[in-house]
Amino acid sequence: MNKLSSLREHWSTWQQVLIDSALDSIVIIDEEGLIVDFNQSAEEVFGYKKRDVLGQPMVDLIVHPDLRQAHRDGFERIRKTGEGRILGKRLELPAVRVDGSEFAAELVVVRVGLAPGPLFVGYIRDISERKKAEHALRESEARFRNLADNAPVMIWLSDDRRDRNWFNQVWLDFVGFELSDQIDNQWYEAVHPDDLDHVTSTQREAVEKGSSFSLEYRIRHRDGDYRWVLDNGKPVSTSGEYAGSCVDITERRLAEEKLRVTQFSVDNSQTVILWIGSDGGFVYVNNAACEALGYTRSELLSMRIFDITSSFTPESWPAAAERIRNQNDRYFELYCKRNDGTTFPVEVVANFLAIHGQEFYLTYMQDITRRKKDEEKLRQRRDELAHVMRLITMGEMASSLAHELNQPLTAVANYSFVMQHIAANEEPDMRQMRGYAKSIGEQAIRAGKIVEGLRKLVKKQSPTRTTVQLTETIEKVLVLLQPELRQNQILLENSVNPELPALKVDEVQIEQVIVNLIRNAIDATRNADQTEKKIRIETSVNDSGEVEICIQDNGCGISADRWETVFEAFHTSKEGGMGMGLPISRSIAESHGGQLVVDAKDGSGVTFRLTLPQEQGGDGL
Amino acid sequence: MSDPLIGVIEDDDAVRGSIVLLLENNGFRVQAYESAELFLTDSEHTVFEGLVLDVRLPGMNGLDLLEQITDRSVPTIVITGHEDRSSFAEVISEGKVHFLSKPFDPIDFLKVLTSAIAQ
Repeated sequence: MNKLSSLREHWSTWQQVLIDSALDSIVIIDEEGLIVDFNQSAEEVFGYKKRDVLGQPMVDLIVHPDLRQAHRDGFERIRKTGEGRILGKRLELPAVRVDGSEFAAELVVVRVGLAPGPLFVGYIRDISERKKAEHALRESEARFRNLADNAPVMIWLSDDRRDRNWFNQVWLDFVGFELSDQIDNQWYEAVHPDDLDHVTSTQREAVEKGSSFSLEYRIRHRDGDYRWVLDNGKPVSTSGEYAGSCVDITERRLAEEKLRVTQFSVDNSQTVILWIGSDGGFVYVNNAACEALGYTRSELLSMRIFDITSSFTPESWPAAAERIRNQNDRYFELYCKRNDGTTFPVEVVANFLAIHGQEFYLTYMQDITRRKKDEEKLRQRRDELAHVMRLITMGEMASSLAHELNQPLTAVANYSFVMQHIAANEEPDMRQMRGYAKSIGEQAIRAGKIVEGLRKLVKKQSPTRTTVQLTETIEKVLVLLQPELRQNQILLENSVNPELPALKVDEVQIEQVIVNLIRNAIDATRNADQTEKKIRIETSVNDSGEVEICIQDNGCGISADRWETVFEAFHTSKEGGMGMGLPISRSIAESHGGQLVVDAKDGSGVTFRLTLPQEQGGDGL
Repeated sequence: MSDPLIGVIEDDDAVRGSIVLLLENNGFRVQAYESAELFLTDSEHTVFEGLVLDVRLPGMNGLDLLEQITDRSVPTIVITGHEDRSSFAEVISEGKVHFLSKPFDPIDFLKVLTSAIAQ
């Protein structure tokens, strides 16, 4: 028997084996819709036994109740016309099991035309697991979208073609795109043209290596302005898919740019800028500081303030720092020492700043060498001018001073003559003689004081500050002024406070000021109509602790509109006057850190007030 | 005959005192004044045989005083500085006025005064 006849002989057996061993459920119905076969898989899937369903109408057993009418209609149509829309097509339908439970089924129905009548074979597969997985995936994706769309960052995804093909809502809103716009790399159009090369090349290199990348670039915001974003991309699969997020860093970039400008201007400022830490060490130094001090930046940053000036020591620094913190002593002058050992004077402004508990003493220093030189020159000129003015004043006073000097000399000559006369007697009266000798001595001292006062004012000497008792200084000056006062019948009221603190001043210059003021007072008083001409000199310590010398006359006064002009150079009301006395006096007062002011009442005298601080500021560094 | 009475007008205490001493030790009586004003109130009823007058006086000065003195025949020694003399030119020509500069030699002073009174 050949194989084929054997196969034919056993065909029905083979058929049954093929049907029963199929993985899919196979249900065969006849023209009437009655089940003629129901394989093992169908038994497992639907829960029916083959013997129970054979000859039963399929529609009532496994078709979902909602679809039974549609099934009947469709089956009727196939029977009549031989055509059906569902035949040979893959369908997905719900089906029911014996216990009434539903499941998702995939189904293909074929028609087999046979002699006794056509049969319909249905291949059914339970796809509920697949459906569940699909559903889970859809849910997971929806969750991701939801998360991504609601996250406060811009998120993108790229596919294995290395193109970004998905953007979250935040990203789309930021740029003002619709999602469909972004496909095919349209998003690159939003990148700033100057940054595009950088963006594409960085991204390409990263993708080739399969590594992460981080980019900062400008992207066009929906309002039309470019914004800076920080874009971090990471590979999410080995096949070249990336996910990334962007953060708007425009504010930070702007702050950074501003900071760069600030840093540049600080680095390149002509002013020496040093930031000092609480221990006195330098935290920052600018270029001008390096240049002025002759160190490199790294050298300076390992140094402390004590290394460049002797004005501060590690011992004195805490107290100085506190004064800066409390803003009590923010402006000062000191000498800085260069790397080569030379020094230069600087004017310092210091500020205090604390950031997160860290202390910064920000100091700005200006080299004032030139200013000091100019000031020194100016001081020399002023001193020279003051000397010239003293000579002129002495010249004016010469006649009365010569007269004043001749008084004691005349007396000395007379006493001496009388003593010789008495000595010629046989019994000279020694008591008388002693009295005259004493008088001679007194007159010599009187003459000596005048000469001394005169000599000091005329002598040219470099200005020196010595500690003086102002009361004594005034006494010395009055010796020289007595003749003029007396001659003009002016009463001098001397109410000098002997308790005055000692002052460190240039005595000659202070004497000059007092001589000037009293001689002005004499001039103002001399021609006044007062019956009693008076000049009052008074000293006191004012509320600020300054020593005050008031010189007041009851002369003709100065009208209010001329008060300040009296201090202008070449301004004079005196015939033959130079108008230099008061300007010089004022500049002397100021160089001692004091001041000279006028307080005048029209027609009833003038008061000049000279104040000198106890602690001398002014020219001293 | 009593010693001649000399009027001394000088504001400086030391100078005035020493002149008084000088005159009293050389045979003169002296009446001394600190100022021209004080002298004038006294001169109404006092006859002086000679005057010693300082130019620089507080208030009325020597020149003003000379103009006030009506009797120009009284011999007067004006003690002055050289620079002051020109202003006295007028007065000099009219009266018996002699000049001495401080500090003067007491011998000269006594000589001038004695000879002026003797004339």
